[in-house]
Amino acid sequence: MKNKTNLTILLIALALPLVLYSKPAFVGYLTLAGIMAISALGLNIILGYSGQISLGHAAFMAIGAYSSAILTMQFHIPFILALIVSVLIAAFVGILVGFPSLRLSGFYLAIVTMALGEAVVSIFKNWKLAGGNFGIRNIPPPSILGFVFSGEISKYYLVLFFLLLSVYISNNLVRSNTGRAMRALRDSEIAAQSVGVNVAKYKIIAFSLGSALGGLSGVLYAHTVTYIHPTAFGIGLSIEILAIVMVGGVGTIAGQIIGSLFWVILPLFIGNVETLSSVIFGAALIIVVLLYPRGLVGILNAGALRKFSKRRR
Amino acid sequence: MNTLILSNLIVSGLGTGAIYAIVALGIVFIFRTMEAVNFAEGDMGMFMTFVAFSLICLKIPYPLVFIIVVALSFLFGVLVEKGILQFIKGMSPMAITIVTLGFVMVFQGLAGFIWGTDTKPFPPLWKGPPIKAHGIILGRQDVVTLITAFVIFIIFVLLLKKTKIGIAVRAVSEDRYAALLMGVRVSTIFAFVWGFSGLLAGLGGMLAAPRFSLDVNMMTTIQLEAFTAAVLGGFSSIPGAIFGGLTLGVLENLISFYVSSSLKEPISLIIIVVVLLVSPNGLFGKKMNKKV
Amino acid sequence: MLLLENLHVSYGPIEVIHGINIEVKKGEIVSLLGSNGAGKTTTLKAISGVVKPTSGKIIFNGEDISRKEPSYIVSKGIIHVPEGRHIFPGLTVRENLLLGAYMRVDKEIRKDIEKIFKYFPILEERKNQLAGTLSGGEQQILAIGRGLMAKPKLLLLDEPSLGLAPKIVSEIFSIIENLKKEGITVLLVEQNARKALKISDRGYVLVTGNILLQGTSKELQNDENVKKLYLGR
Repeated sequence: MKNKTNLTILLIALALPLVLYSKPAFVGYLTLAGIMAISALGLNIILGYSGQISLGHAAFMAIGAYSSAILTMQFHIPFILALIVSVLIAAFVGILVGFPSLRLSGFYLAIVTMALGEAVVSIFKNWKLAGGNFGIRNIPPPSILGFVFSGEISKYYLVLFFLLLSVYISNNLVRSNTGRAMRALRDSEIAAQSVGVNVAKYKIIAFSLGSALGGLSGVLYAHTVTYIHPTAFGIGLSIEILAIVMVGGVGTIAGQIIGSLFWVILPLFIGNVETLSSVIFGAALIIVVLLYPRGLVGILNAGALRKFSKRRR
Repeated sequence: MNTLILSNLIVSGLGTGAIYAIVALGIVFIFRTMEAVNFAEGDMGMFMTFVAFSLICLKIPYPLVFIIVVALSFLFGVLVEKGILQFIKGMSPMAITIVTLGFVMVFQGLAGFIWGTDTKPFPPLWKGPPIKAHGIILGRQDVVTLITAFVIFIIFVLLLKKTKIGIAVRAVSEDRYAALLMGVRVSTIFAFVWGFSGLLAGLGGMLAAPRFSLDVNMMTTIQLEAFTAAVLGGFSSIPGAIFGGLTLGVLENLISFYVSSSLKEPISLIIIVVVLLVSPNGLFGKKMNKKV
Repeated sequence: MLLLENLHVSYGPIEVIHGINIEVKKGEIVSLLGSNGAGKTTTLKAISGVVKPTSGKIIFNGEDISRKEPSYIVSKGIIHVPEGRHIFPGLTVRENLLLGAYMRVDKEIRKDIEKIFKYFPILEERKNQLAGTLSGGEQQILAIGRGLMAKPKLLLLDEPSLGLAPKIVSEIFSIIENLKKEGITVLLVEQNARKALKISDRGYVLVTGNILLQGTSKELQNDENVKKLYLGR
């Protein structure tokens, strides 16, 4: 039953551009949603699975985006290699950021990750190679073995591929011993420690994996949007990613995709007024925390369940 | 080292530091009582400063607007608590903290929607050329800021030490259960704390606006500095927040003059990370929070 | 004065008090005995409004207060001095006493603080000290003094002797005995059954959320079960 639903969704995702080929702009929005979903899946590993708050997740997108842009443009390294290196850099920085989480918890960690996130932005602002305040323009589109992903639809499929990869990684993580250990430390660090879970190790793994996905998302962002600048990756975006995770459904994989779609599509419904969508999304975050801690995915599941039980009666 | 330059740097640093201290005080006040971090403290101030801007546009004299908005800021804070946070009763401080992140999006979005995302001019409370005395040059707005900060700190301390509600606030932050048994209505105390933090935010916003110019993101950096100030002071200590804010203002001024002005922002980030990792209780905090 | 009628209290899905009936008459000291986890503290919390009963009534001077807020119940004259003292450690002794009078609006508060100081000279000695710096016994005296500042009609005392040295325990019990002379009714929860029964008029024995025994202190002191279980004889 569940596999069937997943297959249907996958088929719809694969077929969507064929239906929407006359509206490339809309395909572009879906691509952006995919990129955000990859980032959200990363934060979900940190926040949803291992229970560590991070308010600097956008910084990892920045690290991925800048590394890849600089590597491809300044050093003429092929896209796919630049992607791998950039993801590794993000993962490495993630490990470094993971260390404070060994000593700090809760609000202190929130504040430190916020500060570290701003520090990354500040470095890119002051770094000539990264274009300073102006950022980097005309980033080349992704290309693999001579094939250039220049059109909206090809970019969509590329992002979809990496999204599926991220879902695959998240899904395997949940089922693995590592995933179980992470959830144990999310539920109670002290209890996890007492049953022999190496808390430090799993926190570091969570931060590095989550940051790697953040970096991957940043790489794809840089090469599909083709323009990056430092302030775009500040605390504002970090809060928005956190909101996507919470609104979509913290600790779930489907929630990250639904949350990202909501984040991208919401502005379209209210005439693309960015300020207003920020209000609505912020309100959604508040409402989710207050009333529906399981997020949109929880609401949808409850709805499906009700339908299902009605049919049976 | 020229002592005159040094004293000038210190005095004008105190002017900026006073703003950090006011905002930091608002954050610390909420943290002490609810154990939650209000990430929307700065943006509450930003929003109220825009309200002040609108009132000034209506040709109401600014000193009057200043007083009105300080009062409105208090009500704004009470409204946030009574209107929304009250429903989180029994929920974890972390949930409240995440809700305040939602406030950041709502307040910034709402301010941008109402007043636009461009920069607005904002008048100082006391116009005119800087004051010179014994070679020390001090902007009039700095004078106003320092006096206001001094007055509000005194009021704040008297309130907490000498009034019934102030003592009750301290009691609630020490032991909520025992305060409840004394008949203290904890929700009233929370509303008061949010009200007073709102007032500090509004004050901080209006004092900052002439210096940093008014826009939607005005308070983002200031709030980061306020967090640094709070961290320096141990995050739950009130004198610590004041001391931390003033120190940070002076430190930034000295570093940007003697070393490099591009270090101004990173320095506060470094302070946050280093202080929290090395000595999470800051320079002032007595004890870490009860919870591990 | 106080009447608990068929009181049930639950924490989430788990019921911990299964319909108890307790009466406290004006001017009495009534002991509520029982081992750890019997539901003594929960009963007191229900009376002071910190937890809401699932069913049953709590009647105080003819009024059902079972659904009221703690602040209302305090204003009616029921003061709960909690287990573990729960003084405010970062407030001075004087400020702790002031908080005891939080619900009062009369002008006698200052005078009453002096009264408390006369009654407990140790508190006057330490009046400007932070309460956290007091010894355990002094903190317990402060907790009782703070309770008295509310001018209670009924004082709920939860384990006042817990963790105190024997000499101070006797002092605390003599303080409680004196409260009766001042016209304050006391509902006393104690592990130290022997001392509690010595100063109280009547007692109830609570076992896993049910009243097992009740009677005058003399009857309970002579009851074989009580002797075996709580008096260690």
